[in-house]
Amino acid sequence: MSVGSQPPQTTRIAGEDEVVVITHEDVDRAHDRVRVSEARAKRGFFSGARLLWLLVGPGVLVMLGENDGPSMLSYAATGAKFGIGFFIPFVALTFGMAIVVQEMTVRLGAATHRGHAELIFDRFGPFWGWFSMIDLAIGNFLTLITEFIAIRAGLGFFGVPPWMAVLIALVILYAALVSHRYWTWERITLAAAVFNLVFIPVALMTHPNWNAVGHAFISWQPLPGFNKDTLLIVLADIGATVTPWMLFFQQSATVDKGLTTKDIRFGRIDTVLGATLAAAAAIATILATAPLFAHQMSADNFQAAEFAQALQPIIGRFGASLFALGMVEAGIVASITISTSSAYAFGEVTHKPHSLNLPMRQGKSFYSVLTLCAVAAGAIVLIPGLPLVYVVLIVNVVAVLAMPPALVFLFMLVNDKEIMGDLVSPVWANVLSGGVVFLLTAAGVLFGISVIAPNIFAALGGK
Amino acid sequence: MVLSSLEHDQLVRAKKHFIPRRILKGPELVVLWGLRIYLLFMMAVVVYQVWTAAH
Repeated sequence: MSVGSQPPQTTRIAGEDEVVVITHEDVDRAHDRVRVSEARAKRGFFSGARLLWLLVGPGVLVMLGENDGPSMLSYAATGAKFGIGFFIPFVALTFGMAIVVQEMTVRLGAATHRGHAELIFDRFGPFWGWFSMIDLAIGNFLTLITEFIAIRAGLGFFGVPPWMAVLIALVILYAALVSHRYWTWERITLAAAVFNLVFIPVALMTHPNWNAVGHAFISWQPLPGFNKDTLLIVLADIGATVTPWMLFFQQSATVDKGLTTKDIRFGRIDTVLGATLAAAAAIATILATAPLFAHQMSADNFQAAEFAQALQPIIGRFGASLFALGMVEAGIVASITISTSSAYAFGEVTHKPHSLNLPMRQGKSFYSVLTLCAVAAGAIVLIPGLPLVYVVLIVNVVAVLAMPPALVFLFMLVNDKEIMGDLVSPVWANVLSGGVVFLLTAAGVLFGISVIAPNIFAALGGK
Repeated sequence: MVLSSLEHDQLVRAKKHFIPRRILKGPELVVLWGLRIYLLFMMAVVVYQVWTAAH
């Protein structure tokens, strides 16, 4: 009999009447925890490094996963439109915001062993729970569509037909799932996510002006003009680093991985490491497309393939191919993590089994939601004549707009002494997260004003 | 092995118990409703922007 088909075991605890049902999911998670305990019991550098290796995952995945198709396109558009200047330190700042927000999900997951959707439903009731789920479902599905747009456009650079591009992405997504083990899934996805760093060699090929980069980091100059286009890029770059699916994903993955309160320090390291890698890839993308700004090339309606083609005379066919492959990777990794986040949330609110440790038979609904989300999004991008460019444009903006309500739920949960005990947020963390909510809301309001009353921006000296 | 490696509330069986509901106070409800209205309004703005861009 295979492990996957084993029925749940029952164990009687000595001296107690209670019979504990142990599932296949429990056994798999326990195996992972045994390895962590063994590494923690030993002293020395190599044991510490092994412990880090065992505990990293959700943080790096969520940050590199968020460097997705529309995010990389936003960074590429930023570089092409504004060159090296204000947006280089600004993007680094947005990743600082992401660390503040995501660290809270690590604490919540490790302290409660519950997913984000489950906690919202249980603590605030189904009324607020469904609101939050609808926000997540709409945002996730729109974003998933844009991931397949990026995959299609990136592979299109190599002449791969759209249907084949979607099929390749779905096969990779299925290959990551096929082991039905969280650990294996996480390692496969991490290996794919590291490829996001391909934008760094592409940036180096453009021979950036390092003095200008250093000057931009110190002075935040040159500043862009204050107008509607700048505001859209600001919103898109914020939406490229902090989005609702990240909250749901990292908390659920922390729970599925089995992290406990003892592991919070490593959860923080994981999150900071992920943010650092993702920020490096994001800034590299801005640097890579900055030559298009220097050549005054209009990139207003560029997609992945057009950016790669425009860069080809500057960095050659090899560099342009790397750029296109980077876009494909960004789309594939995000399609894996975002569809997983949807499946976790669905399982949590319906109280159906939801874990990547589940064998197919026990996790039918979990794997069905995960696969169906990806297949539906993939199918939509194959519809001829669909205005895909609009979806890409608005998806990051929608993410920014949906973030304040999601953050307030997170803020209330992480300050809830009944479920968090001594792990409630300290004052400084509340001040920082309050600042993030204020900034996101203000950016959203400014966007609203720019659409409804664009003349106000003209009066302030913009276009 | 499983019981010694996992914390009690990490077991799948323990997760079947609901966490007790929290009673939301006045200011909390004001913030939640305020942000809900903000989001609905902003979504209408996005739809308007897409509609104008499409035409």
